[in-house]
Amino acid sequence: MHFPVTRAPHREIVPNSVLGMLIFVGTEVMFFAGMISAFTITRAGSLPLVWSLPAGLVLPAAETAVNTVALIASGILMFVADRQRRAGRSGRAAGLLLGATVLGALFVLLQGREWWGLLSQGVTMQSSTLGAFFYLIVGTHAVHAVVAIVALGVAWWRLRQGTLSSAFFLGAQTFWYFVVGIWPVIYLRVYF
Amino acid sequence: MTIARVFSATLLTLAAPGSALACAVCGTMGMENNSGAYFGMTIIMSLLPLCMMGGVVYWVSRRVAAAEAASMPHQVPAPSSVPTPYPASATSPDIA
Repeated sequence: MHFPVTRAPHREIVPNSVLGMLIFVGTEVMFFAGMISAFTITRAGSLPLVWSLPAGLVLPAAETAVNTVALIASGILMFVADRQRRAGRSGRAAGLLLGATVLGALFVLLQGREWWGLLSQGVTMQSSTLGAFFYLIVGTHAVHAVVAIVALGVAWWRLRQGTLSSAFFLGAQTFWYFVVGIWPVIYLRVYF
Repeated sequence: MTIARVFSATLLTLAAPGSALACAVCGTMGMENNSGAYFGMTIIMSLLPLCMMGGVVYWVSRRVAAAEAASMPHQVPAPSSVPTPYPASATSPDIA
């Protein structure tokens, strides 16, 4: 007697966009790790008076804590938005995605305000080694954040239009998690 | 002459790494203050890519296992509600 054998339909185990983005994020993690490594070694080998900002200024760690909270909240909103999207609640997901995008943009704007204050007080890339590392590492992260925010904005727009592909959303989501996840490491290493 | 060349090349090869500064911060290597930082960062920079690759491989393997479990062949019951213990050909052989 023959029993008809059926198999479940073929499905993608890991979306290509996620796998590609994970490989890209891996290189980015090593890029930031290299910068943080150079920062750490240079700082450890510098004399205390050399490793400081001009005119006794200190990096605004307390103000940046607000930025950090905004960015982490953005990551949480992105996570919840993904859950809502998977549950088929596109309207709610779009609202949460917009919230994540706005909080990310707020992070970049507050960073820009912080930079403006430091630059107006004479802290530049040439003013000290700490200043050079600060602008290099934090600036590189800000560039990544801006790119990710644009991707989130596009995802939000497509979600509203009903044309958002899962591959695009997952790629943007993975990149945003990287931007959110790497920031606390930078914050704790550079600002303290 | 050849021996002298080989000796010179070997000497240069052995001496070169001592003065080669492979990175922007290698000039400060060997100072007491930052030897710990060098050691720690060397460990982190060595293990970080391995951990990332291991994490991705583990995640993908789990996804593969889950997909295989979901696509295991399953048997569709026969149309008849009464199961037949033997095939019909076995119970009534066709003798020519």
